[in-house]
Amino acid sequence: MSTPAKRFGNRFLYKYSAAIVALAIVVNAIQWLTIYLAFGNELGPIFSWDHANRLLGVAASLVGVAAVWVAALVLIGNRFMKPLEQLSQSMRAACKGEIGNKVHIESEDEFGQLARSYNQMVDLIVYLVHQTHESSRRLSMSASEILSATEQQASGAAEQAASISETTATMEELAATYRQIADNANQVVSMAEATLGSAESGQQALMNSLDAMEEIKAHSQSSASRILTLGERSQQIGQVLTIINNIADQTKILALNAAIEAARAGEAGKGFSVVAAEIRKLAESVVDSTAEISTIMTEIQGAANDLVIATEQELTQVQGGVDLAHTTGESLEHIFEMIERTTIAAKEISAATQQQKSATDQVVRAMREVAAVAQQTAAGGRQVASTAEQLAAIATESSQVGSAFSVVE
Amino acid sequence: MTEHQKVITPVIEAEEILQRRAETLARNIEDSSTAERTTLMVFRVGEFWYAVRTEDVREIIQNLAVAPIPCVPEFVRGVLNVRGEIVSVTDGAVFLGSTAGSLGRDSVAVVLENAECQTAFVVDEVGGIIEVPTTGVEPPLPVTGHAEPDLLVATVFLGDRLVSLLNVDRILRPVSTVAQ
Repeated sequence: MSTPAKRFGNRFLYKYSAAIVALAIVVNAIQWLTIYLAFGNELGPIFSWDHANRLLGVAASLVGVAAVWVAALVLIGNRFMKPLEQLSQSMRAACKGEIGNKVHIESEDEFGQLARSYNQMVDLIVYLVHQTHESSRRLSMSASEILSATEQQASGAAEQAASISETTATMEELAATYRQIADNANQVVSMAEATLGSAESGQQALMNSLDAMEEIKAHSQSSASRILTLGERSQQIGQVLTIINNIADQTKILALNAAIEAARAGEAGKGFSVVAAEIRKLAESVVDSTAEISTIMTEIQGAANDLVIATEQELTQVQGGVDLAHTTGESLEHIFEMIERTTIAAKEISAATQQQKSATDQVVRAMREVAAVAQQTAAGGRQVASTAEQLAAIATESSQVGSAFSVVE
Repeated sequence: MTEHQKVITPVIEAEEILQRRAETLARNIEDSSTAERTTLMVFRVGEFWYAVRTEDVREIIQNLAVAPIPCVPEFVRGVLNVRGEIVSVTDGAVFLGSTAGSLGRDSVAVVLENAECQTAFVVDEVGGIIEVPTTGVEPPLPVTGHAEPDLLVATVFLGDRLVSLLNVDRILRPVSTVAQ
C-alpha cells in the first residue's frame, strides 16, 4: 500500500463506489444498446451530424448527471463509513498500546452493534489490564516476601546448621567425657575391689593379732596368778622367818642367860660361857640370815608386786590392743560397707554413663539427621528462592506486559 | 624353805662365814689365856650403851607381862612374875634420864640382883656378854661422873664405842627403898 493508487484501491468505499459506477455504466450501456437495436432505424436520423449539437448536449448532461451521482455516492458512502473509521482508529490506538478509546456510535445498525460490542470488549480488556497490573504487583510483592522469607530461612538454616554442628561436637565431647567417666568408674571399681582385698587381708591379720593378743592375755593372766601365788608363798616364807626370828631371839636370850650363868659359875663355867657365846653368835647369824632372807623376800615380793603391776598394765595394754583391734575391725567392717557401696555406686555410674553414652550417640545420630534435614531445608530454601526469583521475573514480565498498555479513561 | 635358803646364800658365802667364825673362836681362847679379865653385860638404853658386871645379873627375860602397881616412883613400871618369883620392873629409860619407851612383848629386861633385892631393869637392847681386860675398865669421865657419881662407876671403851659401867647397888637402892 505504498502507492496512493493502491491505498485508494484498498479503501472499501472507493472499491464499492467504483463497482457501482462500473455496474451503472454497464447497465446503461446495455439499455442503450437495446434501445439502439430496437429503435436503430428510427434513431438513425437522430444520430446524425445534424443533431450533433444536441447529442453533445445530451452527452454532456449525461456526464454531468453521472458526476453528481458519483459525488452523491461518495458523500453518502463517506457518511456511512465514518463510524467504521472511528472504530478502526480506536483499534489501531489499542494496537499501539493506547487502550480504552471508546467508540460513540448511536445508530442501531450493524455498525452500532459492532461499536457497542467493541466498547464492551474494551471495557473487558481494561479490566483485564488492571487486573494484570494488580496481580503482577501483588505477585512481585509476594515474590519479594518469599525471597526475604527464604533468605531468612536460609540464614536460619545456616545458624541451625552451625548450632547443630556445635551441638554435635558438644555431644561428641560429652560422649568422650562419658567414656572417660566410665573408664574412671571402672578404675574406681577395680580399686575398690583391690581395697576390698587389702581390707580382707587386713581383717585376717587383725583376727590373727586378736587371737595372738587373746593368747598373750591368757598367758599374762596365768603368769600374773602364778606371780601372785609366788607373792603369797613368799609371805608364808616371811611368816616362817618371823617364827625363826623369834626362836633366834629366844635362843639369843637363852644364850645370854647361859653366859650369865656361866659367868656366875666363875672359872668352872668358862667353857660353858664359850659355848653360850657360840650359841648366841649362831642365833645372831640366824637373825642376820633371816634378815637377809627377809630383805630378799621383800625384794622378791616387791619384784612380784612390780611384776603383777606390770602384768596388769600389760593386760590393760593387751585389753587396749584388743579394744583397738575390735575398733579396727569395726572400722574395717565400715570400710567393707563403704567399699561395697562405692563399688555399687561406681557400677551404677558406669552403667548410667553407658546409657548416657548410647543416649548421646543417639542424640549425635539424631543431630546428624537434623543436620541432613537442615541441609535439605537449605537446599529447598535455595530452590524456593530461585523459584521466587523466577516468580519475581514473571511478575516483572507481566507488569511490563501490563505497562505496555496505557489505559485511557 | 631350805631350797630358798640354798638359792639365796651361796655355798662360798657360807664357807666364808664358817671361816670367820673359826678365826674368832681361835682368837678368843688366845686372849683369855693372856690377861686377867672381867665379864660385863652390855645393853643399850636410848642412844647410850651401858654395862653391868655379870655377877650382878641373874638372867635376861623376854615377853614381859608387867602388872602395874600404884603409888610408886615413875621409874617403877610394876611387878613381874619370873618363874614364880615376883620382881619389880624398873624402866631403864626413865631411870637413866632418857625418853621413856613403851613396854611390850619385844621388850627385854635384865634381872639385876644383889644381896638385898632384885629388879627387872628394862632396856632397849641387850648387846651381850663381853670379856674385857681389867685394865680396860677406867674411871668415869669427869663430865659424866658429876651428874651421878654413884651410878656411873667406870667407862669401858669397846672399839670406838664408850660404854658406861653402872653401879647395880645404886640402881637397886631406890628399888629396895620402895620395896621396904
